[in-house]
Amino acid sequence: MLHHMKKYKTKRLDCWPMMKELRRAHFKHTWEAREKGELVVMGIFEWFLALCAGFGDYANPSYGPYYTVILRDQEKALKCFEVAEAKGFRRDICASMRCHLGQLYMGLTERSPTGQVVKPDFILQPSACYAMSKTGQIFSEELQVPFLNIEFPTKDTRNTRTYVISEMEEAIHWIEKKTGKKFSDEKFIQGVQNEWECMVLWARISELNKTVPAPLDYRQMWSLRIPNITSRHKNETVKFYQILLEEVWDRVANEISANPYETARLFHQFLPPFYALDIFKEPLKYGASFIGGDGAFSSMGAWMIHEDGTWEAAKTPHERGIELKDRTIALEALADLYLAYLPASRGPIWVKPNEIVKMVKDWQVDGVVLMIDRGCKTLSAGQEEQILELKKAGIPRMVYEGSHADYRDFDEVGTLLRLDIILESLGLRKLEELREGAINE
Amino acid sequence: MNCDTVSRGEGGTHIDVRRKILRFKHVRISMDRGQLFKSFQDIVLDRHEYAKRWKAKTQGRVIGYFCTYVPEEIVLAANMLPVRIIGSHQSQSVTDELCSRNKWCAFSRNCLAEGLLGKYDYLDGLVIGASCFHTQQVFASWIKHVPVSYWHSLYIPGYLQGALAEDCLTKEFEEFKESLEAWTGKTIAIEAIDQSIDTYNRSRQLMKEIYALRKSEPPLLSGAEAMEMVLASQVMDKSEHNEMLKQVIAELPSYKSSISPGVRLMVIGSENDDIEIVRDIESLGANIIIDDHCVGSRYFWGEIIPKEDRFRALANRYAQRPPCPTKDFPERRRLDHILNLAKDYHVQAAILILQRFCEPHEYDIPSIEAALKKLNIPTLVIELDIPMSLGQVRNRVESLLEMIRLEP
Repeated sequence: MLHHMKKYKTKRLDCWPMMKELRRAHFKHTWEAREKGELVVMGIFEWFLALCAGFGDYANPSYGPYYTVILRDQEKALKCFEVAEAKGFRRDICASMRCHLGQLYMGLTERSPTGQVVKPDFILQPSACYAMSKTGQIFSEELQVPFLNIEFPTKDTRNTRTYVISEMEEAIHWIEKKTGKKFSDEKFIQGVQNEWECMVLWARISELNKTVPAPLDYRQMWSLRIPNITSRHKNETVKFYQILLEEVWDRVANEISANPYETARLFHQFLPPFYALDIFKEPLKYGASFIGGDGAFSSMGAWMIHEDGTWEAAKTPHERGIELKDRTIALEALADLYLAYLPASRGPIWVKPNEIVKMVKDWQVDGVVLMIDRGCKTLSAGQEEQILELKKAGIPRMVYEGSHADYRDFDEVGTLLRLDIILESLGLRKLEELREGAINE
Repeated sequence: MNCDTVSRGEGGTHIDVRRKILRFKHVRISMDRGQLFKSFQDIVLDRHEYAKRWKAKTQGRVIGYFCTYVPEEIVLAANMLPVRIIGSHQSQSVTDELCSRNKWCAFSRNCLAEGLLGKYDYLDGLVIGASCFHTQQVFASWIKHVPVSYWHSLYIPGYLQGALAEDCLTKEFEEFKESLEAWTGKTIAIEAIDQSIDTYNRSRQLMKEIYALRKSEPPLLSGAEAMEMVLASQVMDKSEHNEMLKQVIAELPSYKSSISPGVRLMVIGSENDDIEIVRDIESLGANIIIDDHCVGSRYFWGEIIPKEDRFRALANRYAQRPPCPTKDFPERRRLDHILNLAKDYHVQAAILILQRFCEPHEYDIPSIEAALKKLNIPTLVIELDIPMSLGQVRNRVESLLEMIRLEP
């Protein structure tokens, strides 16, 4: 049977080292920014990045630079969680925020690997969820630094747009006042253009994964999206995604696949367990691949969502004939990006029930795997409705409980077993078994 | 059956008998006095029938609302009855596919269950003041599975302390009014808004006045009675409720206090409309004399200060009212409010009621506990879920009360 399966060409991504370099530079920047006279902005500052870009280059160590390192090391992660819990923060609070709080109370937040201490200028928290804002409040109190919150309305109306634009205007004045730095419209406009560009490029790259075979798999996308999260206001990030898009185009044109076989295409919906991304390798044993899902596509992609549920990569303001000539137009463009084109920013009321079924069809997906994460109230809103839609449409699905950041709430063995079950229910067998079968024949 | 271990909630069939006996030992309510508050209790228990009767009598429309940030004043000005959506405190499997028990708070699950079971079949419309994500999801599922002819989602900024929030809220409230007008085809006159504001302000004044009667030792009314009074105001005609409040103010001080002295407790927390739990706690020799939650003072504290722009006046009140934790940053205004209440009402201990999985409140608990500790006020966190193990709750409260009684 194995010899009947089509084997695709595979190739390492040429631009992978470039992504690694961008990630490395972002981390190092936290400890170099102060010497360069640049701002150090703390917070999950993953939206409206151009606002700070208007003040020149800046560093953003999130709520602590060791987040990823900690999550990958169970011993360190446990310490962080336990410190936060000992301070009274309960286990069903967002696991990422508990990890950050643990870093804070352990004194890691401001400390470089060489022991240097860098105090942030301020905390800037776009309130994508209240956990982030409440965490920002605690950091501000503990570190004694000013706190600025930018609201993230869950509905898009003229009023909410006006509100967001006014907030950004106020934020500019606030930062000027707090830091004594002058805001540059020129740098801001460039930052907005870049922010838009990166998000549109990412959506286009995600769209290319509709192709069979998929040029990228979920794990690759999960890593490739990082510069988009941390530094999409920068010219070099735009350059990186332009190169990536070209490379992915090339892979599509030459039928270069992410993995040698594509016996089934899977989606993973909602956040994955960050510390156990190896579960995404399990389908490879069956020649199947995770080729995307909302966590990979929408966290930093700009999408137009049509009435029939179709997700289509958005067009940049420039492509729509809008030139960002001045600060006002650029502010409007930034509000437009996050209120109209970022699916993850919508409240559950505004999500169309038919979206998931349409996505499954458009990306030619055979099965959907969904993680229920009780810690993430924002992204988990709407999960059950999505599961019902999949059920109604007869689409194979697998639901597992877990946490995106707390390994204690995740049963890896059980999850792998369930993955095996869904893959077998799709009629697949392990390649190893097929090989053995072929030898015996 | 051991009464201490009886749980309530599974189908609502098990009732802890010992609890009732304890309650009546502690609170000796005279019939006449009791009647004053029984009318609130009757309305709460019979709230669906009440709304149906109101509808039949007035031919008006009934609007269900989620979250106390919804400006009910505008609903009343449109001649409609605003009714707060609350649950029944009974386990309902009907929501299992829509709200997992492992991540959704019991309150939101239970609200949706009531909708799916048709308990709110008399509603003409539904409105939400975007608060927590659980409630938003419940709202989304409700309008999908139990269609209503009208729904509206108000955006209530989380950053209500921000200078721009009031402008945003003003506009949201104007849009809400326009949306109701478009639905009914009738203009909401400015006079109607004024009248509604007066009615609501009067309600707030009267409830605050009655709350002040709890400052004495012993208090003139129990925590359960106070909660029933507030809950009734959330589900019934405000003018009628105001008349009942006036009667309480006129008559209650003339009765000899029928409540025994007890440990003076404050209840702080997530949404809690479970009057049985409050009764249960009070039956142990405590009096709940003040609260900070949205079926208590947080609902009615803070009046509307008249302004030429009525919607701005409304926005100002909702932005300045004692905040829900989802809206309390960067300053901790809620904490100041809690501490002031604790001092004013001579609180001896505080019970922090937490709906399981209620993240905004979970975030506030460490700072509230620390601040109360500085005032030598011990705290106890009680997690609410459905079903609830009341025996366990009672044991923990008893320990807290014993600890306070042992203090010199």
